[in-house]
Amino acid sequence: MTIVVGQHVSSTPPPATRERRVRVAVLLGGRSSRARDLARLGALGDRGARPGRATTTVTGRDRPRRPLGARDTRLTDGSVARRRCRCRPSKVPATLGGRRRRLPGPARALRRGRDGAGAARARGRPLRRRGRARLGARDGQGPLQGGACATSGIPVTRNITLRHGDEPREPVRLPGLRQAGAARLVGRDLEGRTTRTSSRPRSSSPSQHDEKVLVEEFVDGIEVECGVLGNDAADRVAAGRDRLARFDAPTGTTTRPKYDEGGMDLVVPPRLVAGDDRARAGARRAARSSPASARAWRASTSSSATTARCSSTS
Amino acid sequence: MARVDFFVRDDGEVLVNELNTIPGFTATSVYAKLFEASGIAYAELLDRLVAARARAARAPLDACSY
Repeated sequence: MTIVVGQHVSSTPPPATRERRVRVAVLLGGRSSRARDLARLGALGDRGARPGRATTTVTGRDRPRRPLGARDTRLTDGSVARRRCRCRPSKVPATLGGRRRRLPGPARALRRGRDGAGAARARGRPLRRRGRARLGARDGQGPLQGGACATSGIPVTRNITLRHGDEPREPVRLPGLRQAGAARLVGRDLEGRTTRTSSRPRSSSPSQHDEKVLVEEFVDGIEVECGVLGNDAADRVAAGRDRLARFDAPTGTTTRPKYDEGGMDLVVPPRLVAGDDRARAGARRAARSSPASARAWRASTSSSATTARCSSTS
Repeated sequence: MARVDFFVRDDGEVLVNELNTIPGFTATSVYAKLFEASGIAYAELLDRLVAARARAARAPLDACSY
């Protein structure tokens, strides 16, 4: 297994004041979301995160509600979709028709409680909420990533995945979110940017971004990316080396340069000192402890046309 | 094969932000750039991935159909 560490940063100057911010990114698909993320969206609202504020970021709450037809579903953008319709995938909520997506094997296992968090839920015991979030032991984590390192004790950020059609009935208080700041969904013109939690959102519907929206917790630090080559110990021994590279730039203002040509610089070797070894070790543990890693490996090397399309868009 | 994104705080704390088990894999993707910057060109990276897959399948590389 070969590990490469990189750091993302842009030439954009850091903000004058370091306010709590959240980062909003848009994904193009995946399976990590599930029904319980509905409640997490509620946690993003002002009412849950900041008691006393009546506003919320969730689109649809301010819209007048009217009865839907028996076969209709109101989408978050205000339109109405008929069940079992043949409209575009982006217009079809994940929960349309009441059908639940069949999760891959590892995810089903995690849901059944083989991860620490799932087991705790199955036993009806409260989750431990002490210190920083841990993979698999904190609400808001998807089943795969959330359970990937459940036993490894790797601290993780609190990211929340929202799918088209996910709307909470009531905001939910998420312990610790108040300190982290309330997440905001922003308009299309601000996609990929970091937004201040104190500003009023341009819009608040995940459907205005994409079918699936990932809301990332803002972390005041350096973003490091680690490429992992190989899946098992044999690969690691054969490679016999860990290599480091680094993207250098200040984070905290926007993530857009990550996706712009020339927006990022690659600096080798990395400047990280204390974090290098920990980042590499963390990447190795995270990759090897993920039950999806082997599946992804097989899928990415499969010659089937369906899999190839999935791989090219991920 | 994976790309794991971290945040490193000023105090040295490392947080896992994202685990990409199928990272972007074009020649201009971060995954490829990382290895290219560390001395593994894109073509060689492809070779290694295929070879690793062949080893995983316990089949000789020349018998691999990829």
